[in-house]
Amino acid sequence: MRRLLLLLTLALPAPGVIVDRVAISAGNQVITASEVDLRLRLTAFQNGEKPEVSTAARKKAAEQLIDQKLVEREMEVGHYPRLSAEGRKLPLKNFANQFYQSDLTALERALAAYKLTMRDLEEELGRQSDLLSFLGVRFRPVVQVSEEDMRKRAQDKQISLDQFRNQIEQNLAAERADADLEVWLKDQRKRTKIEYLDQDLAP
Amino acid sequence: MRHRHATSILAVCLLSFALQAQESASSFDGLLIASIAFEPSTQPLEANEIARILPLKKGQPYQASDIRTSIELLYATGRYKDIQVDAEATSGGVSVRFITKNSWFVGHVAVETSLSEPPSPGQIVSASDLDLGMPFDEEQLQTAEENIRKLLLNDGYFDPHISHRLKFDDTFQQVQVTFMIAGGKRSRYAAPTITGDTSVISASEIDKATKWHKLLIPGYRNVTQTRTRAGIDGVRAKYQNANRLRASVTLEPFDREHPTPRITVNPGPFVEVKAQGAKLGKNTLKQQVPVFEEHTVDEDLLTEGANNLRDYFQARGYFDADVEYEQQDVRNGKTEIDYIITPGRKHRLAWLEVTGNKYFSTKTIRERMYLIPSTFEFRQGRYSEASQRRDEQTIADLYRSNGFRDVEVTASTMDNYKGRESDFAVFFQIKEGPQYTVELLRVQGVSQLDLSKTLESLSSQAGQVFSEFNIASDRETIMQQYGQNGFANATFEWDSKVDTERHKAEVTFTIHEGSREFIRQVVTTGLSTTRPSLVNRQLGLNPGDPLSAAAMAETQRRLYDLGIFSQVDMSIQNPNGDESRKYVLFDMQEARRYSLTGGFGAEFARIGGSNAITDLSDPGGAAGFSPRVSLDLTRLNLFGSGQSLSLQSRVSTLQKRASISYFVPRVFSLAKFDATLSILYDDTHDVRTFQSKREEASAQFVQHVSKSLTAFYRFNYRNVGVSNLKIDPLLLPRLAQSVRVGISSFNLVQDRRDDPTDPHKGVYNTLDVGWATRFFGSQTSFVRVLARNATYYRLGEKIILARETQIGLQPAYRIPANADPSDPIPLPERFYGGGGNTQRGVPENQAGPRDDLTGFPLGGSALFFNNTELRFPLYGANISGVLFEDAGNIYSSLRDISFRVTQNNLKDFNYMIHAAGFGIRYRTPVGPLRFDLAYSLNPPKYNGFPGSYVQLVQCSAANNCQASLQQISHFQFFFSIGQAF
Repeated sequence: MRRLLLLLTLALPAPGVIVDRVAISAGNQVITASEVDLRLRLTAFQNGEKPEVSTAARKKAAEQLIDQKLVEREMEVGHYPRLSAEGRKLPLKNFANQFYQSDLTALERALAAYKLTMRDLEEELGRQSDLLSFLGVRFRPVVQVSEEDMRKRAQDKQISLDQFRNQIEQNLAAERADADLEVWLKDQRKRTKIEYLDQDLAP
Repeated sequence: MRHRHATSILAVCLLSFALQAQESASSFDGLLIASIAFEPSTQPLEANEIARILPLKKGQPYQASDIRTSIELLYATGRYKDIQVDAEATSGGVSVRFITKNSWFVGHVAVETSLSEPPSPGQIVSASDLDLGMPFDEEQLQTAEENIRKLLLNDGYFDPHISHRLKFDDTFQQVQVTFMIAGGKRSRYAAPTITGDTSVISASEIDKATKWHKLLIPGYRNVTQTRTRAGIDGVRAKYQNANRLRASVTLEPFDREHPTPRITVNPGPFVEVKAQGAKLGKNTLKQQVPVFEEHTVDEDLLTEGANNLRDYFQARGYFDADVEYEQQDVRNGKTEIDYIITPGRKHRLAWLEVTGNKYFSTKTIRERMYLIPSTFEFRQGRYSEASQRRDEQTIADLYRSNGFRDVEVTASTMDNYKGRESDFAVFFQIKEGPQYTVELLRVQGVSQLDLSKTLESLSSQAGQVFSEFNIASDRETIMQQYGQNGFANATFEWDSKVDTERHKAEVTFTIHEGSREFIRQVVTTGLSTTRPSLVNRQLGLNPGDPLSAAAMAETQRRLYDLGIFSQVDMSIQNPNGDESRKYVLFDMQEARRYSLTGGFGAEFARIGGSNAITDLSDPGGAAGFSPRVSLDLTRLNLFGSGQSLSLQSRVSTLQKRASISYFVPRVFSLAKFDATLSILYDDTHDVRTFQSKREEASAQFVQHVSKSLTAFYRFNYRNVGVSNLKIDPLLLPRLAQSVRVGISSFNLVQDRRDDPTDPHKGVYNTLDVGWATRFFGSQTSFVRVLARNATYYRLGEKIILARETQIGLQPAYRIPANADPSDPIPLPERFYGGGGNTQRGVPENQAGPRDDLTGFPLGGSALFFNNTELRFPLYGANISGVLFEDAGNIYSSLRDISFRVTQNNLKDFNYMIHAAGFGIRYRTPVGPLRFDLAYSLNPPKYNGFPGSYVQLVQCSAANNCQASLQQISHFQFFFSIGQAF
């Protein structure tokens, strides 16, 4: 009997394991479960922290991914410039230079500890670069910073306007562009049907 | 013990499953993919489409990122609601399985209801907001039903029961939604409850103003949305008439809980709008000041009123007119709005000059301008400051669109032009500047389509004029090519580098082609009685064709042309889905199968005189009035084949006519051929000489050769009898016989007029050739040829010269022994003419040969008419005038056609009648209303018989009949709709 059961066990087809699935849909775009995990690991790697796997962290990562998808769709529709395949290698190279003294083996080892590959990091850094470029083209040009605003900021920070004029102007412009981005994202979220197939990720 | 072992082995087994389930996806990384499967095995995407999309390939190493991308790409097609992927290690590597759940799309939306209209089924479907081909979610049904409920509520169905039925079509992932609506009886209005201040207009007057109460009989009407809105508008109008322009009238929503309409009124102050400083009628003031139309008073509307009044006065020659308004504060419930008008002197735009133009002629520029110097039509000319500015802009735009980027247009005015106090002149000075041309045109991004021919035809080629207008036109041309070839998402950008010194530009067009889409299949829905084969024959789209909006619109037009659908919706299923082959949807609402139309009309012209056989007076006709009733019944889409059967009837004092027609569109599946089979009964007295009764059967094929050319192939077989002949009794044996005519004819119509109801340019030609012979069962043999040529020319901007020539002949052969030797053609088959459309010098059908004894017209076997008209504007945009000259007559035979203008004797009618006259046209949407007054220079004289028919018989036998000299009146008048030709 024991042998029979053992044989039965071996004879049963091994069931497939769900390796990935749609977790969230935003219009015609999706965020898969593995993408959420990948985001957590990439964030942890870039921050030099341990990957956080709590539901709250996953939810936060999922919301960031939704925003990312909305931006990507806008970039696609609006034909915004993106890094070429060759250009994507540059942010990775800079990253390796900055943090690993160009030691790619060390970088690869560090990534493996987070179950990440060079390709994962290259894509992530390329994506971040595209996003910055999008922000610069889409939101920065419309931001106006007045003399009065700069004076007020200098007073608040108790610094000299003449000395830090450029820095203040850049900071104010960046803040306003970020605020505009927030508004735009909010509007896009309203217009897009977002469905949480993985209820654990629902806000 | 044995049991414990068994349990532990089972636990191990489960543990091994659990371990597998927890296995990370990345543990398969690097293994070769042994197989890729889908569950269910039947997928919404075609196998080759899946193969094209998936980055995952059998035999390649497994990578978790490829799985993720596969899910993203599959989901982006829009065909899936959910996708999961499982994987398992097998001996050959790793087997991957996609477990999918399909999404659904909105298909045909139908309504089942016994409720009377309104709302119509179309309105209900529209209210549901379920758009054909869009993704479907059952959650949408709740909103749809709520919208429908609101619609029904507004139309008086206070307690509707709405449910739905869904039918899922797996093949095309469509859901057919049927809304089932029951709602009992439509509610009726009740006497409204009025709240607010009713001191100005009493509650009963408000009730009356709504017109919700039935006229003359007790009780209230049924509730409808239109009636409710009209009712409230009626109350507002009532307040407006009482000078309460700021009155507010609001209606609370009424429903089952509140079935009585509740109206709240606030009359506001008494507002008097006055014009000071110039004489202005009350109606004009109302037309120009929008506070009356908008039922409210605010600064914007008052300013708009001032501007309108200024334009009004300027358009009437008060070019310096100035209008301001003053609004008084409300005191004792009254306020006053005064428009203070300072008209200034009345001017005449006597001179308009354009100088500095070299590239465009003055005529070309003037054609585009609004300002017009004094003419017969615009006595004071047309001028206002706003129009002057607009004309400056118009001229500048004209130049810019032709490459003159630096053009400057300025206008100056001169009062007291040439010393005349009221005359005014405007001078437009144009500085053209250089014309810029394209030095180099670059087109980037074209890779999937051969645009070589299109690019050759672009307006912005090197050497051509550089202008945004041309670039917009090129954009249109290029995008049209892409649109027709399935590139719905193609975009166009342009950039230019302008050398202002050399006046040259380098232009770059950048095209983002996007992905190309093709037709996967055409899906038709909504057919209940119509045969699918009939619809399929109209589809000009095939699987594999590029997805083209223009081709879809053409198919939609062809479906509408069948005349059996009240609505044809077309859509692309899953329009936002990222798939290369799309389902094209046509959803049809079949029209009602029966249509009944009735009409009343009347004819007032020289058609009168007694029809009684005994009355021989007025052979030339008298002013008469003929009322007419018509009734048509049509059964559409017979046997679901698109064919129709019509019964048409018309009864007037001159004619009784009934016909049954069977219409076959696109007969024998030939796209350009239609066929009609008809039978007809006609009893008419339109020719005053006799009454004819005609029974006829006919078959006709129509060939739509091209847009402007149509050919008709006809066969008619008829039995024509005549009675009540008012002619010499000795001719009766020859002319009073009924005759059978079998005639085969061919008719060619070429119509190149710009507007058939009121043409301004173009050509209209017809040629009708018929052959009546005994081979077709005809008792009389003749050939009929009738040709017509009309042309229309523009003389200047608004004057039209129109001319038409008609020539007809019908020679007889195999003449029967008992036929009238002077004209062997039976009376009803002869040509008749005269009247508003042929020769306005004589009444309807009064031209040509006449009976020697009675003077009644006998018709002829040849005709010639030549009409010339000068059409010109007379007053404003809608009233125009016509000067015309008509020449021609009906003749006994071809050889009798003569251009002689004098009548030789009282039996000679073969001469050319000339008439000249004046007409007025009033433009309406169905064509101009026409009144013509003609003066005939040489109307025919003839012998009439002064007695009764009995006396005629007696004197004819005795050959001693006396004649009375008569003549067609020199003056004739005609009322009608549409131009004479």
